[in-house]
Amino acid sequence: MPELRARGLTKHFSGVIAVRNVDFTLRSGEIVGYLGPNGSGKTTTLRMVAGLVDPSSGRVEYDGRNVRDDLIAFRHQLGYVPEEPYLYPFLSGREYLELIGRLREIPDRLLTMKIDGFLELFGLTGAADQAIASYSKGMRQKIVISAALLHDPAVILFDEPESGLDVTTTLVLRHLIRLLAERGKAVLYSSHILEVVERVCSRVIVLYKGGVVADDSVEHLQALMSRSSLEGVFSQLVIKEDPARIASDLAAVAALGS
Amino acid sequence: MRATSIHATLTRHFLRRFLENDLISPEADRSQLLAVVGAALFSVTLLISLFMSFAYIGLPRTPSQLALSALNDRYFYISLSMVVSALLAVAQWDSLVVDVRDAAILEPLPVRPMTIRRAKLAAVAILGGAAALIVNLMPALVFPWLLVYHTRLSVTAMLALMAIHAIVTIAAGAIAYVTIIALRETLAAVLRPRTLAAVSPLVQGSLIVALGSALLLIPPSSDRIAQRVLSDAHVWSPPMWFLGAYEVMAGDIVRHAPRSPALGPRALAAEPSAGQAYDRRKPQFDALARRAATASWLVILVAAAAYSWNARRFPSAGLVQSRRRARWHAGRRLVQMLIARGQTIRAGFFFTLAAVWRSNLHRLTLACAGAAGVAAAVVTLSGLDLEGVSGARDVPTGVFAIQPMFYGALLVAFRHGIRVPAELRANWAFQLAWRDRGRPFLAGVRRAALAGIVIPALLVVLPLFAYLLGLPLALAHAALGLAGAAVVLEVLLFSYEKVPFTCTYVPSENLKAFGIPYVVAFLTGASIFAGMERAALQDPLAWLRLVGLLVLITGGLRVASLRRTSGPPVDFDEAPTTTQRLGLHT
Repeated sequence: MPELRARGLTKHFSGVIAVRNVDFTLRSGEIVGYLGPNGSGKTTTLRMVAGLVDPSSGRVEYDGRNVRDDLIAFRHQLGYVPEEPYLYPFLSGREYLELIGRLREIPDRLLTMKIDGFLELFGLTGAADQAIASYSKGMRQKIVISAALLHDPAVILFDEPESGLDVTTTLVLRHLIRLLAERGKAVLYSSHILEVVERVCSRVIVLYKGGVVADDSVEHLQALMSRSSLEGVFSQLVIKEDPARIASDLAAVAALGS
Repeated sequence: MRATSIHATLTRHFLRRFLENDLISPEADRSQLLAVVGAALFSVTLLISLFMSFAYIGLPRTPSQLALSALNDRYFYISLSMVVSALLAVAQWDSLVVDVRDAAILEPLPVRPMTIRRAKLAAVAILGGAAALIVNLMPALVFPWLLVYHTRLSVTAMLALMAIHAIVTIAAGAIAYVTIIALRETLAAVLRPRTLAAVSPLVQGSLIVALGSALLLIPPSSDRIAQRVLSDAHVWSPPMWFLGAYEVMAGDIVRHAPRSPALGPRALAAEPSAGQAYDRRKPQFDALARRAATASWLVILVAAAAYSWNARRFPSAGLVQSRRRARWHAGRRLVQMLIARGQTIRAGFFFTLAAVWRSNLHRLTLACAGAAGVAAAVVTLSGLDLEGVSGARDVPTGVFAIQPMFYGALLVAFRHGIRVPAELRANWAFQLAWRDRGRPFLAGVRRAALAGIVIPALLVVLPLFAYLLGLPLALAHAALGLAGAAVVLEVLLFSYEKVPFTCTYVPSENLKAFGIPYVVAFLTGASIFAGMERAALQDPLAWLRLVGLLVLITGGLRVASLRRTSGPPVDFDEAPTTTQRLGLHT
């Protein structure tokens, strides 16, 4: 089964290192959680894997080949749900999915069935023909997730996909990710919600200041660091200040002058 | 924070939002841009005023002659002020009121709704007032001064002339601006939100075409105004109403100005008849002035009533749940079977139609080109006598040039539009789904241009030619137009190697060098083609030969285009060259 490998991925932005020497492997049927605080380089890594950003050094391999050698062939196998769901606001949800499906050359009959299915299951049938400009963030996110799955990709990158979704859809998404993995898809799941990652992912990679500080199964990390939850492991790895103290200081600042 | 400072903060915020549109990048320096636009407007109006007023510095004229010839220039300045102000209001169509985004952001804040509405109103008023002032300031200073250059008018009277010019032109511009607001607010009051959302872009587009055409037609229409004042048709022209008000206020100042001692005997001999001609029109000026006052009050009342009615509540951010939009399934199926059979072609076809008609910037680009086409048609037709025309032989070649000029202008605008991304931040979706099948995608784009731009343009001019030539010949003429448009489109897209409406916009480096030759070549080409059409429509065999020739040229161009070695893979985020990045090209 083909596997995705990141080898020494590094990215500088105007001399500032965003991602430093990141290595990981993502196998079929695996759900890997990609964790890290804000600004740790998660989104940049995912954009490099998707081929949307050129790495300053290092490379991404799929099935043993550098994806940059044939980016289009790699993207046939790739689904990507970005953190910010930028879409064409003047298209309707249905038209957007039709556009993406046609660019991916999905036959018409199949495309219509898939689009109708996604729209119905995500509860968007009533708004399918409204302009995306009028959609809420959650509705846009559902369209982006549908577009990422339209072509049944082998590798799926989720960058904080729960953003804006309601509770029911979030639960549906968790089940969906597990099912996708059971069907042999490789899933890289970046999120801030540690509870979801703990429940869904078989392995986690923790990023801190652009570099990987942990790459192991949740259970192994918990045992290794003598912590009962992923939150405890995460806190020990990347949280260098006392959150309770910062919260107390913030409350004090908010109360200034009152 | 006190209510006045909240009001000021919100007014500044709304003024800033007027600049928030697709034309300005997020990184652009707005102060610099405003300074450049303001300076450009001042310079252009100063140059226009000087250029138009040179005639008054030359040979001295009698006061009555001056009063008569000033009518043309005054009509010009009033029209310019009205059209520019109305265009500005149309360009800011959706920002003229508190919109859904404003409501979503500001409604939860502890600010009284009335304060928000007043701030919006203040921002709209400042924008309209500033525009009217910028457009009219230079003419108000230059034109009255040069008009009475050779008379012995006192400084006080000249200052009064300047003040009257400023008051009338600014008032005319303000009324035009308020008229657009009244129209938009009345639509919002009368129509349901969903209907308004559907109708509003159409009205905005139509107004841009109409006002753009009017702007281009101001110079030719500002002629022989003295004769037109008496015409029944022209008393319905709003600039004419304000001209009446202008003459009531300032006419006698010029008419009875002390004469120049340098007047020649011929001018002095013509003075009595010029005076009588001017005085004969005075009752018309009074009537026109009354009409200007009535119309102004009416417009203000309608705008105030509709604005108050709509201000009862903020627009809702909630999605209007609706039945699935009725789609023209048969039409879509027909398009898919006949015009866009492959999936990538379909992607190009439908995305192009959506981008061209729904993206504000692209719609605006095409509307401007449409306005230029309409203006060219009106100018061509205005000087012709088409009575008794019964066939292609009787129709002047200039009339045949209307069709190629109309679709040609639209296709040139389309060619420019495809280089501008419909939504740059959304191009990641194209990058991920792109299979490097540029040619089929471009084929879809080309077919969309023919179906969505050329055919509607041909249908617009078809009634004119049906009236002149009869329906069968008009249809034959339209077919020639379609074949000609296919050639133009092939030429325009011959070397296009990017993904239309998607890749980063990189400005063309040679437009300034080749702009004028392009225009000359375009007009010459349209004129030559019009001559060929005229000849072909007189003989069915010649028509067939011309169609065949155009099809051959289209095919030849397509083959040549396909045989070109394709370049490297598409760069969706192409950076401009160093020169352009530094802004040295401007």
